[in-house]
Amino acid sequence: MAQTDYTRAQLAAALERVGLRAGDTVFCHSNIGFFGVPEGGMQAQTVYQTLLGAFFDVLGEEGTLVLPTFTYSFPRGETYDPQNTPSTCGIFTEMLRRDPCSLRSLDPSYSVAAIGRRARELTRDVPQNSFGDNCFFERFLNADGIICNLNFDAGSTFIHYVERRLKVPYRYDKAFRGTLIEQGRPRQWRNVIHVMDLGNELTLAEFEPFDRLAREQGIARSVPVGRGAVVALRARDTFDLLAHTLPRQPWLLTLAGKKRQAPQISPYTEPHGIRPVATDSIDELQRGLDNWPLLGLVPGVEAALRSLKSLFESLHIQRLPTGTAIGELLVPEYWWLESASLQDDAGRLIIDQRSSPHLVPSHGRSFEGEVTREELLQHLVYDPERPQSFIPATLLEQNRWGLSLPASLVGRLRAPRYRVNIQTRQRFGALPVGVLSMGDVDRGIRVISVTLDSRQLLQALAWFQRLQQGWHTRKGLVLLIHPGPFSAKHLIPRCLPERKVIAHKIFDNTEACEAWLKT
Amino acid sequence: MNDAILSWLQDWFVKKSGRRATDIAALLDADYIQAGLIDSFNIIELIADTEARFGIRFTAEQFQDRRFTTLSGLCQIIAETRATHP
Repeated sequence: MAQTDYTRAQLAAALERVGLRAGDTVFCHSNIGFFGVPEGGMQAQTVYQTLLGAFFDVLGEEGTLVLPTFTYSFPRGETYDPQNTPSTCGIFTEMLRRDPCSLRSLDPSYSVAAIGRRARELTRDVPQNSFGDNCFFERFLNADGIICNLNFDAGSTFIHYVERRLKVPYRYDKAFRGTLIEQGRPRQWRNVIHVMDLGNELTLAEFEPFDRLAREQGIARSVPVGRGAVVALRARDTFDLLAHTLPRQPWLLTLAGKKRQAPQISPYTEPHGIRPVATDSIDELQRGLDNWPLLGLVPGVEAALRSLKSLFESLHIQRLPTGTAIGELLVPEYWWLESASLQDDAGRLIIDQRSSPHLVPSHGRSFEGEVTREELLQHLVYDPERPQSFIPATLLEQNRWGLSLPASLVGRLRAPRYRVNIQTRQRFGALPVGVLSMGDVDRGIRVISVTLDSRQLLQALAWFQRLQQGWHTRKGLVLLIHPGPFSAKHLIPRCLPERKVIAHKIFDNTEACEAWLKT
Repeated sequence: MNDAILSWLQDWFVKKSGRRATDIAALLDADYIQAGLIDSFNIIELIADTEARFGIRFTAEQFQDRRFTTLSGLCQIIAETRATHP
């Protein structure tokens, strides 16, 4: 049998030496294998009892231990079931999750399991945003929690919460919809997490410099145990240190900081290959726009607005970065399709991206694999009343793949299996919104909004052209032009200077607008 | 890469994970815990068995070495340690 490297008493003593006390609330990342062999042997239960016992020898009955049981279920396109979805954070966390005395939060990405006095208050009623108001990390901060890591440095997921609170420029909110199982019943849910731009490697999380800084500043204390070490620091101290340091060293927590190389954080913009429709005719313009998929933040939106600028010189384009909240939705990443094809089980090509710009709904995921006919049908968008049309669609925030096919083609899909290959990409971007105004907008405004992908755009533009010659009111009129499916009323405060919004009225459809204009 | 060390490590992971040798060979540069080959408790056995087999003792610094989390990286660390302390 291997020699013993540490005992429960030694670990408990080390936890006390790094600052843990009775009644504390502790959040812990662990890599317990590096402690070596505990007294009693290497069996999982022995190791678990040694670790848990040592923590509660120090924390006592009033203390609370919280472990990450992250699953990233929604970002992975999976259902989250708190009773059954395993933790991805190691066997110690998985054993705590299965412990009948522990409680696990309902967060579909960043769930935690807690045991002890505050377990319920730290895990119940989690918000949609894993790093937003009243999230676990905020409650942990308010509870004056201590981060205590076993064989890790002083970095922790709590830092991502601090990054969001401090509005770092290299991360943004991203939403995923999915199914979670609550008390045995499936429920549709939306989860928002704070992510980095996967296309910008320099924004990768890098906590080693923070670890060094925290030790230099004396807020992190480390003590050896067995063959490894424990380190602890208060959540409040972590927050305060970062609030003080990040304004001067904004890349401290990224690979860019480690490499001493500032990353480019500017939004990814549309390739120059997409040319605006060059015309002075509104009808011709509308026909040109029909060929572009204009749902969400996709290729063609910028060019479409630039096309309008050739008709209306005063058009101003406002850009809202990825992650900006617009009512229920967030500005998504800039999304584009690389390739797509559907083949039958004999390898015969049924359709590919050359058939229609609408073949793949915007913001759909990449997918490559073989599916049954039934599975394929669940991913198709079609309209039986328009049998020859590819229906423009979006899978914004849905985190799944899809194809939009003419209903007539769907009816001819008889093979039992199909091969699907969809390659899409996403980058941090900015949603362009067109703002056309006339009259004295400082005296109050009326707002008309239309989406680029709607038929109403044509009418609205024609009205605006007419009105430009005869608008004699003292108030202003604003035409807001944006891609679907964003809500106009939530775009207004984002796109119009606040001082100008003295009064506004929103028209979501042209009929309402026309009725109002007649008054 | 030291073939004898790698071969022993591959056999060890085949035994612990129950996966085929070809699966292990395809995951030499993957994080073996993330890939589901072993869990974090098995690390204790991995360290104990490796040290016993090669007559070495890892340092706390080596545990923090990112290479420690992959088979190919661990193979390099073992080879370096044996060269330093034959």
